[in-house]
Amino acid sequence: MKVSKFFWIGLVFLVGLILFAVFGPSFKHPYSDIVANPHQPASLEYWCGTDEQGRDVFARLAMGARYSLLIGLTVQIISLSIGVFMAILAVYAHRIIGQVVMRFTDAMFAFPDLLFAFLIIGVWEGSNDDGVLPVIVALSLSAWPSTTRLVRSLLVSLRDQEFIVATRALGASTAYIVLRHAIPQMIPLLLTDSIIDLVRTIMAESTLNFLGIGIKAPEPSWGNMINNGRQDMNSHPMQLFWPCFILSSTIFALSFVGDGLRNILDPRNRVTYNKK
Amino acid sequence: MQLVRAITSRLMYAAVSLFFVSVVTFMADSIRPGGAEYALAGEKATKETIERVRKLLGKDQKWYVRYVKYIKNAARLNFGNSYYGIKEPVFDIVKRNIPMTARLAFWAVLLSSCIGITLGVIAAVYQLRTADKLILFFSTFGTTIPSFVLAPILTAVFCTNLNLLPINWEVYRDLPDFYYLVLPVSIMSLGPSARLTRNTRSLMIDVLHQEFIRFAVAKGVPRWKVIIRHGLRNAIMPIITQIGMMLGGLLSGSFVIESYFTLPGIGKEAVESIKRGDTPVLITITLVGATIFVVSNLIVDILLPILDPRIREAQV
Repeated sequence: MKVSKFFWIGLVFLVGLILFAVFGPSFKHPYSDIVANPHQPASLEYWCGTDEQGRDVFARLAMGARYSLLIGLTVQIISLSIGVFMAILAVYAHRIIGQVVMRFTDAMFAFPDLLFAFLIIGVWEGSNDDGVLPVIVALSLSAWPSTTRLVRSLLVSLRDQEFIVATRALGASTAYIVLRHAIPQMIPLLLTDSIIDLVRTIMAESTLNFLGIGIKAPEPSWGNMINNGRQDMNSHPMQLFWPCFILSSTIFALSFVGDGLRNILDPRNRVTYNKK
Repeated sequence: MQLVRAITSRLMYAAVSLFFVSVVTFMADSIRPGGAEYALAGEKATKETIERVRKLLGKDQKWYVRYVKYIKNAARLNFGNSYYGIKEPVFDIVKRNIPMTARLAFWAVLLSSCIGITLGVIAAVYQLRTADKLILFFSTFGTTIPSFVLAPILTAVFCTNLNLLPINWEVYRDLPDFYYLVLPVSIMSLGPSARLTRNTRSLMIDVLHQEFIRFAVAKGVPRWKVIIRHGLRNAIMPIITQIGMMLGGLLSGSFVIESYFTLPGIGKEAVESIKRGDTPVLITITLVGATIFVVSNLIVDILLPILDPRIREAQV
């Protein structure tokens, strides 16, 4: 089993990013205050310069990281829970309930990509808050169907395997089998799958912010920093560069870690003893 | 007979999907807190005014009556009026904006299929060699770079520094179409073509390792003829499915690209309608987008068994 160096690069970057997100927003200057003249170049005082209103770009990038990571993780947890729950219903509940759940899941695929998320955000009216909740709800509700499909196919393939059948023969209840045997089996696959989903969520979240329909304006996010940066990209290209750079690096790092984890956790890469 | 049954089940699936889409969009309209009556009557309206507007919109009726009415109206292409501006019928807004999105999507599908299939085949043929590695690098790059990061970079290079292409469609309207479509279409096709490259590569590798390929080579068929006639023809079906699925991603891709390049398409219109709280426009665009997606997938699903006898027999 070989772990590529990209995996370690990605992992180190992600650890750095988490530290950055935790400590960065108030490390040198508070992210929401106007601390200097607009469009200062990078200096020892302002590590990434200041933006068009004179706010510290370094702190704002860190706050953007905090939002991206928090939204990404929350969406992942919610959509994974819904997805697994629906899949268990589809496989182990009454046949009719299972059918209904699967038809419902299939029907969710009628909305291509982000269209459902756009619809939810458009319908959401509470425009007084910072806009984080609509983004989380919209992305979670549009992300769960693919998890359900994956988990359902895994559960179906596990259902008829010998150790599950044997447990059932010993008199174990369905809940026990699912919680103690089926789900632990799936954890490695779910882990890699959710990292790849996390990439998708962070990209979707930045897309919404770039379009100006995600997190509301005074709060920083990578997406709206890119949108602000592109408006005077000819005179101040660094304003555009920083958020683009950190967003792309995050996506690359997450994909590296996702690929690496898949290589580590994929059962096909393990030594198998019962090979005939 | 089997073919008929397969097609019927696909049609049923599409019908269920469309029903679901209609229910969701219908619900989206009613769930919205405040809703239409506030948008139309204004925030300071009295209770009586709001009640009158509700009656005018038919909102005092039971939900199933309203749903039937909604479907009837949708079948007649009447989706209500926009809340803002001159309260234009929503259908007119969509009709005005759809040609641009259709054009972008058409060229993007064409471009990304050409790039994806060509690069995928080349990568599979030169598996694990330099060409393959370069192409894999391209496809990783293509799937990870968001379009709104790439778009400013490319505009900076081609529009501002090299001065080859127009930046703003509305300003440089007198140029031929090619000039203002080339950059948006290329950026939109990057992601889909990268994914298509990956899939084509793995499919082609599977096919090229099979016996009949080696036999064809041994028989003395020219190399590229083997790859295209024997190899690609056997791998093409899943590729076609993926090209059919591509439309969905391109639709949301058009939200970003049209907003960025100020192209008057339904993506830009949808983003603007979200910003001004114009629910009817957004709902109609969602409905139209999802319908196009479902129907295009249905067409691909029906075409596949007709084109490929293996699928025809494996199915049902």
